[in-house]
Amino acid sequence: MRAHVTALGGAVGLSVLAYLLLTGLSGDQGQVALLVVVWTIALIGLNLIQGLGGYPNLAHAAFFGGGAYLSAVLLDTGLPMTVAALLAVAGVMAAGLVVALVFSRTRGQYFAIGTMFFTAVATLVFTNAADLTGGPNGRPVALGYSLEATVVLLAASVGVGLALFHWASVSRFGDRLRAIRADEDLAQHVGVPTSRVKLLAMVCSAGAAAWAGVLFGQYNGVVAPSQFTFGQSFLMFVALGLGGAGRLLGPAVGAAVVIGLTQLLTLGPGVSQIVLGVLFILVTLLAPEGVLGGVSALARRVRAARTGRADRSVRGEGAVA
Amino acid sequence: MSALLVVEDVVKRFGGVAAVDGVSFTLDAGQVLGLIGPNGSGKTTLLGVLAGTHDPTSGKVTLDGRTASGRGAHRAVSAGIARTFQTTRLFGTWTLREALRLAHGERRGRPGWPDEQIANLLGLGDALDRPGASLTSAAQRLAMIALALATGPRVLLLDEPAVGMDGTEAAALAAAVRRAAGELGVAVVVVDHNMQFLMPLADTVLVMAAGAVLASGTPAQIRSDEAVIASYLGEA
Repeated sequence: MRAHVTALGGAVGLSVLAYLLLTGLSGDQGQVALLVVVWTIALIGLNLIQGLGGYPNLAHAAFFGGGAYLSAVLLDTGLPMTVAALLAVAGVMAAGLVVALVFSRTRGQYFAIGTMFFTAVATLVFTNAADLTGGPNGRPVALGYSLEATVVLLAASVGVGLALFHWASVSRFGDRLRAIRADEDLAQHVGVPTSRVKLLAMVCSAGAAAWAGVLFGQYNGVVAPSQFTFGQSFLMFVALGLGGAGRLLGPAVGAAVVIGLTQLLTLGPGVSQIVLGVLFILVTLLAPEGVLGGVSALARRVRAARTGRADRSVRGEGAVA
Repeated sequence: MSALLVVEDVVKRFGGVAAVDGVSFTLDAGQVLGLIGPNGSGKTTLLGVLAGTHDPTSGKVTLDGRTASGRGAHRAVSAGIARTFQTTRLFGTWTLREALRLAHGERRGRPGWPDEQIANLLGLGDALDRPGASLTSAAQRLAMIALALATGPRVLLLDEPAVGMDGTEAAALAAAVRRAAGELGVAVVVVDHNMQFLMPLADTVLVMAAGAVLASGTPAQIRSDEAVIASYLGEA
């Protein structure tokens, strides 16, 4: 019960924070706030397949871009915005299903390579299908929602997304994904329909990315292929790991850190990548469960030190005979 | 009454090698079958085919008249066939209770015991809230069996469950398997090299050699079978 209250509190709090950031900041700072919020929404989806399920999905930027482009194209056909948005999300979810069907037999780095390949192909389409996508320089996005409505939707999506993730995480679906992450073969042998669970996670993940893409296009007014490259997919992968894969607030923390560093650290060409690279290595070494995992491990140690005894069960001492 | 588990002429090839080469047997509810044979004789592969880990190259496995083989591990579990592994695997840092809850969640209406009762049966009642990795290796082997039982199986496949156990631990394990077979009516297939453990436990014994059945019968018959003594058991 307490966990639900904390999670819902976090969802509402971050939703309000997103609204305040989007309405309070302008110019470059506003752009950073937009990207952090949009990435948070996309990463909440990634947190299912990658965070809970342990599958390094490098197709996420392609799904994100797919939502942005597809909704822009559909909007041009005269469809109402909400219909265009829903069709775009559904279309990307179908693409996610195909990607999952093709690559769900691969694991670990092979899944990463396969999904990376998908993103590379998607970027080629975004760049070269110039009639629809505007080519390398991108295309304008017609205004479907007013700016105010888009801001409200962005903020609300953060809250609703977090609440949905929490629900999924504590449900059987979440347990099954964690089992797949821990030991997929064993999971199958206790009856988890692993293929079906992975497909569902991947499709939901793609849907969240697509919805983030739709709102990004609406707010930004223009979409370009450089925003949806393999590099972006990789940064999303890194952001979730940095923030805390599988943890409710991992997406928000990861998005803030990665977007913040890439956008604010304009120290010169390449410098932000170097800082980000060093940071990622440090977090991997010192806090393999991400910033949030590191913080909670630290809190546990402080508490253990206060009560004067190490947490034996966690450290695996004193085995049962 | 026809048998619960019917294995019909199962063949499993890996490339040109027939790891299992035409094995047939039947097993009734509540019966314990001991599966023995030299290393490489195909025992684990046969368990794998029964549990859906491997698809058979030919032949089939039916449970209560319904085909249970060749449809993947999770469908074998849904049909009511669960297995353990030679190496211990328990979802890493999960506690035993969490792992049992997951397995229990996949039971879907099949009858079975509550998780605590399963843990108590195997002497793991005090270990429920420990991470699997913190248990002794003997306790981890028992925990794998608990996990398999939590799925509510009708057929339980145990792959060398007594490895690394001393005589007392093995006897306790044998008693637990007997109870599961007797009280839940689970049919059990046990692979093991420890004859002191296996022979008293098994109702029937199947001896494999080079992928095929060398002999089958009661433990007493097997002990005195000359072909089995020559190829596997050795002279006393």
